[in-house]
Amino acid sequence: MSEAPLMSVQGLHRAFPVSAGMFRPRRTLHAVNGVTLDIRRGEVLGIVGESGCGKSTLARMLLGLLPATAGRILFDGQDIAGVDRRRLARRVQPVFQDPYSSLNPRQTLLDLVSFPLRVHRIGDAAQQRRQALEMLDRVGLPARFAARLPGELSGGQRQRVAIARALVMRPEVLVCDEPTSALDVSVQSHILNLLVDLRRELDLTYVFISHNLAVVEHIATRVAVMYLGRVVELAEAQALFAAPGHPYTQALLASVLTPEPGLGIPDAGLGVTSPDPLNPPAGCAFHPRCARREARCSSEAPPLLARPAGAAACFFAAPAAATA
Amino acid sequence: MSQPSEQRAPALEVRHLSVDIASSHGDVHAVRDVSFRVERGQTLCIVGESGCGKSMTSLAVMDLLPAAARRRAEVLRVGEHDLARADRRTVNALRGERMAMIFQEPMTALNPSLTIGAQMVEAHRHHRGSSAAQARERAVHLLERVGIASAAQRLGQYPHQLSGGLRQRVMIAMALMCEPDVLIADEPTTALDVTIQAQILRLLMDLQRETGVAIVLVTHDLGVVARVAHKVAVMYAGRIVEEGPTAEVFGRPRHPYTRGLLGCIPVPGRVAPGGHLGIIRGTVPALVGELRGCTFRERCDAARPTCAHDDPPRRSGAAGHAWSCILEEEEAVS
Repeated sequence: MSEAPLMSVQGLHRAFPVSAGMFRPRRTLHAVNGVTLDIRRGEVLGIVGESGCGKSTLARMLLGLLPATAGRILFDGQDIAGVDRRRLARRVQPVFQDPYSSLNPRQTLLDLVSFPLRVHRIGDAAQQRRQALEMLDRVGLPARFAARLPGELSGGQRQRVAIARALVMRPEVLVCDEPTSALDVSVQSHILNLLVDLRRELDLTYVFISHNLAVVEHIATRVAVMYLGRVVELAEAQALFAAPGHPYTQALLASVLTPEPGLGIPDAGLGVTSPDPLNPPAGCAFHPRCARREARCSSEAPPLLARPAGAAACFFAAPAAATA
Repeated sequence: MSQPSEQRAPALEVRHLSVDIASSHGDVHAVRDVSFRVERGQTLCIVGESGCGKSMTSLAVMDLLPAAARRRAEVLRVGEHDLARADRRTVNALRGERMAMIFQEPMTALNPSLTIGAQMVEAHRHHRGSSAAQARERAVHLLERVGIASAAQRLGQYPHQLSGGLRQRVMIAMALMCEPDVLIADEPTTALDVTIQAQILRLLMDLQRETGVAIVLVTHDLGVVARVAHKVAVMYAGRIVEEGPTAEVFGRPRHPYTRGLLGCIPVPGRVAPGGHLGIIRGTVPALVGELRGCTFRERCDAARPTCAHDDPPRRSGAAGHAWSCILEEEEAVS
């Protein structure tokens, strides 16, 4: 616990101007609206939330692909805004959702995976080739695949290539944004097992973004729940799934359909209105959908309040489960 | 609403349906001899992975197959009409009135250049010969029913002015305009957030209770299947390899593919966090040329030499539970 975090996100904001129409004033979308969290060495930090909650924007910022409008991200204590993108890329690498669009269709797997080494001039040609082949083999694509093109592969194999390419420079952090969401379940389990093994063998730290809560519960050690650009709950994975504190986390977990026949479809009590990210409510952004709201929730935004094994941004968070 | 006095004809009956799609490698046998029936007020879920033929099956029933596809069916009966033998006019008249379809992507079904109201009213006037005012009244009623606030104003809006969840609701309302007997839903909630997914599925189940509509829900999501299906059909490589009541198929899966599929999904409490999930090795076979034996054999731990030559026998268990595999019931349990 006392170890310094590998990455530290401090008061991070990212706003996008949005045009509402030719004669309407431009408005501002606060995609990430004051996020503070640490990424600890060796953990799998799951980030969950509905579409538009800012989780993918946060991922791109962690990768240095998108600058902050306010706040900062520290990597090993150093602000990444002042670090050369290439240097950051040696330590933080992405795996995206769509293995169909993230691989150049005209390059062989060997070219694709050795490309980062060539860009960064790591080793000579023979070493680059050897490292790329090793990594391809490591993700389950033996040497006979090296000369193939992405178009000859299945979706799961393409995602293996994307993982090999991300890992070939031996980064410390892998930012996975919906890495299995485009895959069939029988392919997803292969990729999740691979990610679990690689993390152990290569001492990796994962930021794992997914809308699939069962997958996050399986792979994450700690979870951040986002709602309209803010982290509303941050806790150890087991504690969060056993006893969610924030009413939004509770509703989210209640909506998950586990493969248990006869239970019917749960009513999470969220009502039918979705929030408008361009016009977030005052006070707690979740209060219009919240069953537990009181007068103060519509005027005062709750900060993250500490709970056992985590924190929740709610004045009336549910009590934590008795610690085992 | 079950009416015991009603005759037992199913709302939808499909017998020996096959779909071949012409490709540069020869015909792809996308759907191979599929049969099922759905009773009034019941939901059949067709579950399987990409390329298993589940979407082609639903498109074949609606007669909406792509141009390169050919359909063969012995029986395709909606109520008393056999679509396998009907002419185009009859099929067009039935589609939209007696049977309707909703898709994963609402913009597949919505016309971007017409208002919501115009699209909803058109279908009703066309099929039912109603007045504009009657059709409009029904549209407002249905939009309210699917949980859309200020429904009357929404009629004047275009699809692009609505969020994804709202469009999905509009598409459902539109599909229900003519009170269809059969609703075919192809991955209707796959693109939606879990909270919206739960709302849309509740809505479909409520509407089914009220109207008795028979639903065929095509999905890859075993969680959705477990919660909404009365009956399940598991498809693999163009065939239904296992089918039966939902509790039977989930509680006592018999076919090695079904069991593999259930083992792949993370279920809290079954696999330790960070542990290994079950896997199915190998990949789906190409469905071209002559297909002999069991198409799952190369991925199956229980395969025997005969699996390469003989079509797997159809076995049956309790309550209409059936599967196609050489494994006997006792063997399948282990």
